This record gives sequence, C-alpha cells and structure tokens, in this order.
Amino acid sequence: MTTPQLTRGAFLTGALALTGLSACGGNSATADPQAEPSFGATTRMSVFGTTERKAKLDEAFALYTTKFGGSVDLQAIANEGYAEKLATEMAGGAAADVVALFQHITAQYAREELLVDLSEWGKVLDVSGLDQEAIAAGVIEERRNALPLGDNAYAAFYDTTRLDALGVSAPETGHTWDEFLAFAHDVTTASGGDYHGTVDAGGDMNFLEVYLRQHGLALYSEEGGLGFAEADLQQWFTIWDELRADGVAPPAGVTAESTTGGFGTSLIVTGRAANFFIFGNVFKGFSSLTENTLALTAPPVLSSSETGLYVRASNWMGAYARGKNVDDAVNMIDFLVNDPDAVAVLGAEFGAPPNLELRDALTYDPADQVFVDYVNLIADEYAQPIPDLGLAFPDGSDRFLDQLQATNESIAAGQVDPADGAAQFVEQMSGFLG
Amino acid sequence: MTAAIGRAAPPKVSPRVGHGDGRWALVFLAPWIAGTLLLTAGPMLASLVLSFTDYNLLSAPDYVGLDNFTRMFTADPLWWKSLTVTTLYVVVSVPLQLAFALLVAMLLNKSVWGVGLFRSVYYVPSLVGASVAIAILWRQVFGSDGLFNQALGIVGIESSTSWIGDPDTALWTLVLLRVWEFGSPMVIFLAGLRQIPQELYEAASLDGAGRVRQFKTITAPLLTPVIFFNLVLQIIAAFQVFGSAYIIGGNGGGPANSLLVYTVYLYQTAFGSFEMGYASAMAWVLLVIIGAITAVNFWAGRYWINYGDE
Repeated sequence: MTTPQLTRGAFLTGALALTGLSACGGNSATADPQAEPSFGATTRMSVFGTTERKAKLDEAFALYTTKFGGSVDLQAIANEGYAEKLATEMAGGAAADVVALFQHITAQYAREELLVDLSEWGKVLDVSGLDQEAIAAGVIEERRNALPLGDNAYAAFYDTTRLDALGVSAPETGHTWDEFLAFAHDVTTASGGDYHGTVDAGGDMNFLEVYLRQHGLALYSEEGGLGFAEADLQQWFTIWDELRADGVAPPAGVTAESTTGGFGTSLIVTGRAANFFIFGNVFKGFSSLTENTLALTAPPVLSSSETGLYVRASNWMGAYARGKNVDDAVNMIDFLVNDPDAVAVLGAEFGAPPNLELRDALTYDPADQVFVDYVNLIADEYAQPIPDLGLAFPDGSDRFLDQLQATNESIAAGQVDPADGAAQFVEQMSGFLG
Repeated sequence: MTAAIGRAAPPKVSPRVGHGDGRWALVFLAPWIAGTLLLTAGPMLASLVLSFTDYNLLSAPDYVGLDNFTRMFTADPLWWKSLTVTTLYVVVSVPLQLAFALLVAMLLNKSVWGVGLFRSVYYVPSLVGASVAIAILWRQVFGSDGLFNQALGIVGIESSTSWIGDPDTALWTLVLLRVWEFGSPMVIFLAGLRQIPQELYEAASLDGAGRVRQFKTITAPLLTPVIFFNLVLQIIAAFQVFGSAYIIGGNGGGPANSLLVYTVYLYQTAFGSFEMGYASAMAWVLLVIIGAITAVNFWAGRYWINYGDE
C-alpha cells in the first residue's frame, strides 16, 4: 500500500508524462497499395459545410458500411475554422483518414506530401469515368492528391423577376463584355438608378482569374509569382471604377456591407442589384433565399474562344497519408464518386457528380438541374485548360482574396485611383508570394 | 494502512509540520503551476524560438535568423498598415474611454437613491462589450439601415452611410465600442474618488471655489495615481484588441483594411497563411512595443503623478 502523497505524486508525474506524450502524436505505417486491400475497419472522415451535407454523407456511409462492413465516423464543422482545425490535426498526426479539402489547402498538403498518391491505388480506385479535364487539377507534382466531391464552374446569377419587370432581358452564357456593360447600364437606367445593373465585382478574385485567363494571363506565374502586370490589374479595377462612377455598380459602403453577411446579404438577395458572381454550385442556395426567379449564366467573355472559363472541383477529398486506415479511405473515395447509390444520395450537394455517366443518369430538382446543365455546357463548349492546384495556389496565395478586396474597397472609397491601387496590390502581394 | 497509522501518531517535531505544509501547498498549487508552465510559459518560449524560423505547422521549422523581423520592417506594407491602424485606435480610444469613465464615475459618486443600481448597469457593457454578440449588434447599429442612421433621421439628418462599410469611419465605430466599455476604469475611478477626503471640498467651497476649480485643484491632482493606473492598463488592453475588430471587420480587416488591427493581422498570418514563424515574430514585436510604451508611461508618470507624499 502506498501513502496518499505518493499516489498524488505519481499521478502528477504520470499526468505530466501523458501530456508530453500526447503532444508527440502517433504515426502509422504507410499502407501498401500493392498488397491485397482489406476493408471494413473504422474509418474517419472530416468535412466542412452545412448540416445538410453531413446528413447526405452519413446516408452515403450507411450504404458503404452495409456493403463493406466496419464503421465510418464523420466529423463535420462549418467552413469557418475548418482549415485551422485540419492544419493542427495534420501537424499532430491525427487527421481523419479521408479529408475534405478546399482548393488552396489541397495544394498546401500536396506540397508536404501529406496526402496519399491516389494514382498508385488503381486496384481500389477507378478514375476512368470522371471528367478527366477536371480531375487533372488534383495531380500536383505528378501525384494524384485529391479527387472532386463535385464539379463546379464559375457563374453569374441574374434576378429575372426584377429584370422582366424592368423590361431588360438577362445576358446569356457566351455574352461579351460589351454586351454585359450595355446590359448593366440599361438596367440602372430603366430602374431610375435605385436598382444596380451589376454588383461591384472588382474585389472578386475568382472573377479576376477568369478575366485574366481571357487575356492569356493567370493569377500566378509558373514560378509562383504574380501572373499578370500592374497595367492588367489597373484595367480590371478601372472597369469597376467606371461602373461605380456611373452609378451602375453600387457605391463602396453598400458593397462592403453586403460582403460580410453571407449569401443572405448579397445584393441580388436583398433586391438592390441584378446579379451576383460566384461558383455555380450554390445556385440552389441562392434560389432558396429569394422569392424571385434566378437565372444561371456565365460571366462575360472576351470572345467565344477566349472565355477563361473552366470546370474544377468545388470541394476536393483526399486520403491522409499518415492515416491509420488508408485501404478503406481510398475505397471510400472510390465509393463516393463511382457507386451509383452513393452518387444518387449525394446528388448535386457538393457540385455536379464527377462521374459523367452517373451525372447524366441522375434526376435533379429544378435548381440543381439548371446547375448541372450549366457545368456540362461549360465543359463541352467553353472550358479552357487550367493549371493544377499546386500552380493555381502557390505559397502565399491565400492572401490574394483579402488583399484584392481591400484594394478594390480603397479605390471605391476614393482613397487611391486604379493605377495606384494596382501598384500597391502588386507590391504587397509580391511580398507574400515566395 | 501505513497512512492511517502515520496520521494517528501525534507530530513530535514541529519543523517537520512546516515542511509538510509546504509540500501540501505545492500539491495544491501543482495544477496552476503545471498550467502556467505548459500553457503559458512553454508556448511563449516556443514562440520566441519559432520567431527565428520559417514554420508552417506541417514540416519542421527552418532557422532563418532575423529574416522574419527584416521582412516585417522592410517588406510588408500590410504590417505597417496594421501598426498604424492599431496606434490610431489606441491613441484615440483610450483617452476618450478614460474621460468618459471619469465623467460617469463623478456622476455616480453621489449618495442618491438608486445609485448602486446605476453603477451595476453602467458596468454591464464592460462585461458584454468584448462578446461576439455585441460586435454583431454593432454591425447592425452602424449599417446603412442601422439604428444610428435612424437616430440621425429623427434629429433631421438624413444619412444612408454605412459607417461600418466606409473605410474612413469604420475605425470610429470600433473606437466607440471601446468607449462604451467604460465600466472597469469607471469602477476604479469611483474607488479613487471615494479616497479623496470630503473636507477638502468643504474647505474649497467655503473659500468660494466653484465646481471646475474644485476639479482642477482637488479631484484631478489627487486622482492622478488612479488615472495613471487606468491609463497603463487600458493602453495595454487596447493594443491587444481582437474580437470586436475581427467580427466588425467581417473576419478580413474591414473595408480597405481600415480595421486591420495588429492582432487580426497576426491571426491571419498564423491561421490563414500558417506562417507560424512570422506570426510569432509579430507577437514578440507587439510585446516589445507594449513593454516600451509602458516603460515610457512609468518614466513620464514621475512628472505628473501626485502621490500626495512628496
């Protein structure tokens, strides 16, 4: 028998030792893609997004466990905070076996080789049925790091109810910049000025990327620096500056206010502007926020051969290279993209189903059907090749979005002109990029 | 059963009791000591080491010498921007907040019915002011359709300005939020005011000194130690403002980075870009800045604080 003092002392020492140990994390042996895979263990997946998404995944995993046995532990949190959480888990060696990924963190983890090279897992995973152009973006430094949970394309939404009332028809996919500008002016004029023909998208990184691609440029060079010159950016800022000056795009304060409350405060939903630019997979979400009918179309193009548009995953998923159960992880990824029942459950929740045959075989509700048709249209007629995620999101690129928005806001508020704004932006971003 | 026997035996040597007490104290202090070492001192030391490295959480830190600091001072306009925003915020908000706190404290330093209730009520903003809910409320109040513009409308000023969305005014809404959290300096002022002997005021009244004169010659000088205390504390706190700026700025730094206070930029660097080494360096520079300002405060204090014993 020991004395109470000793017990407590031992307890404390033990507790300290445990704290120290748990900080080290655990590594598991890397799974062998050549060995005969075994399924049905406990598999963990982490995902971001709405509760609806979690529910659909849970439903799909119920099918998985029925078919392969074992159990799936799905951890879902909101978009905000997911990247932070995953980074600490990755660093601590404790990330889930299957991880949902944003574009830029896919690139980051790929660089650190923290994701399983899926191209070695041909025995378990079949990618032949997927949109080859779209999945190519996930191949970084010759390793297939991730596959799409759903395919997506950049888009423009228009409030046709309001436009019909004003007697102006919404632009259609393939419309040019000149047509777009004329349209936006017409709407503003027809409404007497209190309804804006377009939102101010000068701070929208994804739209800028499309615009630059139309001019044969890109956000980043292959060396990881900026892929455009100051003058190019100045031109972009000027487009929106002139629209604001004419009252066609809303003033600075209105835009700034609208960007911070989620979709619900976007000007197309609050009824203050005719459009909104964003990736098409949220079309259903937007449609549900307004009583008005929305149309889904492409942003303006330079010409029919210079569209800058592309199809890319909305969300990626990869298998954690240090995960305990890589066999099931890869098998689950295959299941989510290739199993007809699983794809039927997920529908267009994450984007258009990546498996083209299954995508066409499925029936969708009206809003999702519009979106899936749009992705198909872009893929078939407008898409231009895109760089892989490693090139598209070099080190330091995570700052681009915030800084572009801040610079556009400075210009809109009259603090700097488009030329100085472009110069400041280029200087600041060059410091961030390796 | 040795423990029971040991306890039953009456202590013979008194020094051992003292020794035993110390050990027990240590046992009970242990959770706190462990917490301090593991959760405060350890991470601080780690961040000091990391500030000389390039560290992205995922791969081992690379020693880079003073690179992080040179980059901060020479190649990062945004860092300077965040420092400017924060300095402006501190310089404007702290004096305003203290002046307001002192004013309210003087109004509440009276023996009238219900004054206790008012003291509690006025303290409430200090408790809730730093919360996310209030920051979100603030966004609504100063939005283009917000309460503030409606209030202006009532007094005849038509305004559709989004005070939060305009880079020229956004910081002022943040300053106002800080001023509104005047409770804790107010309570300290109130305690200071209570210390001033009533006889002084009575004597001054008899000599014909008015309210203003009394404030200038009695209240202000005798309150200087308390003012100093509040000033030092509030400057330190204001430099570290985070939650309200983060929420009101829409997680990004506000319109045209006008709400990009130091800690928000630090947070973005650490948890947006995962540049842990650079962020650690930023944290230490902030510590040095706050330390230097506090030192200057103490030095300057010698010339204006009246401790009443000189």
